[in-house]
Amino acid sequence: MGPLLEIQDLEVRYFTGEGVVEAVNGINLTVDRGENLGLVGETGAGKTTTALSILRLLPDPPGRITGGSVRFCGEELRAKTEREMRAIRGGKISMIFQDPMTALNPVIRVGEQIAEVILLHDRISRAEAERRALEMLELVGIPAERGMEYPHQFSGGMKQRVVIAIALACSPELLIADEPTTALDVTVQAQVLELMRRLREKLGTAMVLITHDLGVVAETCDRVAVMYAGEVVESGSLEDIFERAAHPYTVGLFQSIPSMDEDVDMLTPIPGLMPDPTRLPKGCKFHPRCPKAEARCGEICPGTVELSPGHAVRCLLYGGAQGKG
Amino acid sequence: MKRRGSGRGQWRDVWARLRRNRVAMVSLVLLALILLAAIFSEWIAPYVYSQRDLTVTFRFPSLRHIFGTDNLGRDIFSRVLVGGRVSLLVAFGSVLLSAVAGCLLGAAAGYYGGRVEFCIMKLTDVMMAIPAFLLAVTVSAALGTGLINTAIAVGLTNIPRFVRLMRAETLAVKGKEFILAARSYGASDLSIIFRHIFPNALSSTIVNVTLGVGTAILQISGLSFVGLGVRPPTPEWGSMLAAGRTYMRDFWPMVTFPGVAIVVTLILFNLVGDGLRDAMDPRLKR
Amino acid sequence: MSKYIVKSVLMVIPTMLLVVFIIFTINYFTPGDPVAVFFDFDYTEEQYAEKAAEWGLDQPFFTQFFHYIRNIVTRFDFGYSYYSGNSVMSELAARFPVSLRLGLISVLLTVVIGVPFGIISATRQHSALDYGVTFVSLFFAAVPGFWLSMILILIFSSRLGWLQSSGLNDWTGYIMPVAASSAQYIASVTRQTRSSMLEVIRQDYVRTVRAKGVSEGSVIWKHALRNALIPVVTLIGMQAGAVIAGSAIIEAVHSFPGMGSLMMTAINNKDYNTIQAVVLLLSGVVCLINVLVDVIYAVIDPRVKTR
Repeated sequence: MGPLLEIQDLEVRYFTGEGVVEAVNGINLTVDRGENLGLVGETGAGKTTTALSILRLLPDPPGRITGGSVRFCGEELRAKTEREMRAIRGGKISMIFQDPMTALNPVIRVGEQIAEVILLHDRISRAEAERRALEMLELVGIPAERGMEYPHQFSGGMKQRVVIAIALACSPELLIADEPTTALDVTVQAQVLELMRRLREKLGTAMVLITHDLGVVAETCDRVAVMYAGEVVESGSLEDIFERAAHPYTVGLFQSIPSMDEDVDMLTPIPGLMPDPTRLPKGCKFHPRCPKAEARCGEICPGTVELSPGHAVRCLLYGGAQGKG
Repeated sequence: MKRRGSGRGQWRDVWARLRRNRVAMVSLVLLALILLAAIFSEWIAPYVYSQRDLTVTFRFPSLRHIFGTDNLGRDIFSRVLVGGRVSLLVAFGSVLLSAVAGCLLGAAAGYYGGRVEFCIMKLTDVMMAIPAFLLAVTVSAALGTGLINTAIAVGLTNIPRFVRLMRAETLAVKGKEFILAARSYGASDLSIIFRHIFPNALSSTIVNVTLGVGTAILQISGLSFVGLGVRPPTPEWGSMLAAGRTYMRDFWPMVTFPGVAIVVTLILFNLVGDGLRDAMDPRLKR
Repeated sequence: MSKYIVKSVLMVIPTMLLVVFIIFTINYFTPGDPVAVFFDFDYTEEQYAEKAAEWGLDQPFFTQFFHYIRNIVTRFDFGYSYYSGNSVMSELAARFPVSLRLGLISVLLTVVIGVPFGIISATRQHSALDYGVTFVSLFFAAVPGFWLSMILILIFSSRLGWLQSSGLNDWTGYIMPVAASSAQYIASVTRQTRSSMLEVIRQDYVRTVRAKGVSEGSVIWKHALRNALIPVVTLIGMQAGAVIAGSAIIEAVHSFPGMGSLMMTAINNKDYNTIQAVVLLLSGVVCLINVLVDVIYAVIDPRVKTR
């Protein structure tokens, strides 16, 4: 049996009035059953775009997948009809969005919003779906009777619990969580992460966790992929990335956050800003900000090099010139 | 995130976005032409608008009189031009009145809250309960006809929309850090309202003024049409329509061209207003 | 819910009292001596005093106001016409239902035509249909109702001879006035619905709904529409007044036997008491429509009730 999710050479573009945004530029990712992949990177690195592309929920226009493949259980999602995709969304793959405050329909009762997804994907009666919706509410720690209430009567953390209930109601095989805790208070963050972990273990759901918080990754993920300017610059196991980081960008990310273990005098932020995605630099996209950049980095696009089994990096320091660009 | 009130750079962005909006730019240019034509109407007009010539009454459009002549032999095209100047002048005057009064009241309501807010907003609600045109009719009947009185009548009627807008804008920024900061270094209420709150509300006020001029033109022409507002012999689009109504069965130009002028001007104001809104609030761009 | 409705109905009373006060005050200070005008400036002292007493104009301001309110509340009596000397209510009684029907049909048309066109236009953004609807609504949003009335008469009465230009003999008499008074507002409701729908479609919760695997039809009609209607309902509430006020002039153009025509005559005769009665009656209708709007609002937006 192959991997659960396999993304190859995915390329996404936004065609806007101000130019073509090169949001995702040929990324490769795999997620195995039950596995936890952390997708890390700064805002604008293309993480959310990647996630939306998997479910084919890109806002079109202006966004469009322009190349590559997305395989789920060995089947090409890009070749599916819209009807087939609808059966997958919320059923086999579900997604949690960043901001719980705006993720729920304000005019529909919370219980009904959970029941809707169950009714869509499972062949059961309406009453049964409603009963299961309330069960899901209890499961995420909300009293069932609050299912009759509307989203505005819930706090942010509780809304995110509802969103999780919706996402996991049909026991999906893959959960894509896009910064699920960023908008929450720190204390609530831990609760929500713990809840997600417990439920996923129970249901055996694999997860792609999108975040810029390396601490969250360290706690939850098995493997990590680091994205920069629409590319995966480094991927590997949690240890590979946290202990043997190879790409200068990954190294820079770790140096820019305070560490509990080491006593560092000063944090070193990565100089410069993310490049303008309508005018990405030639060669390695990171070279203008890279402390180890050489002349050739501005000309040659680095290819992917496998340092050890499962630990891949995209940097000329480790060879693997791709040549073009 | 939308950054607001960041000075000149923000307006440069607005202008850059507006320039890419072809519909809005074309409308802006056409509207500018109409405004210029209205301002210089007496020079542009091929005839003197008030000159009667009883030998050429009720002429249909021709090369000599492109919109024809009216019941007194006056050139309709010249009268539409000069009438435009009157309509636009009164409309701009009335909007200026409602914007200034409305913004001051709205800012006061939002900023001070409490009893001040209660009184202002209650009055606003009551004024909005009276259909705008009927309120304008009542005030206009009380004040009498004429350019200034009409501007006041229509201006008073439209104060509530600016009060509501400015109150909402004030409430939106009232709790923001930069207001608290200004207060913490001892800025007076007035200076906070003028230097921090008004600039932040400027873009939505501009949009509302643009759309408000259109509404005002409609109300003014309506008032003149029913015999209030601007009375003959001063040409105004609404009063010209009223004059033409008597002869409409046999002579269509008198009721057609002033109306077309209203419609074209209003479409342009609406398009420019929409364009400005999209340019100032890029989140809503589509 | 019922508490909310009762509250918004009760709120009408102070609002209407203030409306009456404002309109009454403006009229009180309107220059001109109605008694003198009534007698065409040809009267004896006695005649004058008698008329002024009959109309209550010899009383101080607050007494007059108090009587005015009392007569409206207890007898639905709006005083005397300053022109004919008859009771205003007797002249209005027959005309009120006709105007009400015209106004309500127009408001109803605004909703049932404007909202669906706005939705269809938004869901097929950039299609030929969308451009068509956008263009037509842009045009009609700029057409003054009274001008449209005249153009309709020119085309359908003078040229084609299909409809009677004035009066009200059967239901066809309603066609042109209704069309003229609703066209502009249908157009603006269409525009508002379209832009509101487009905005809602981009919201996060619509993305959540799509991620659940909900079909496009259900996304639009079940999830997006209710949210999109919230600002539209507000707009309709605000425009009900404009539709009804606009139909007053239109009535005059069509010589339609309603209150609007009466008001136009009253304006020409400087019959301020009649104008005042018409303004107040129409304001009352608008207030009641706004109560209905508040109720609809509470039905579609659960956040309202707890506010």
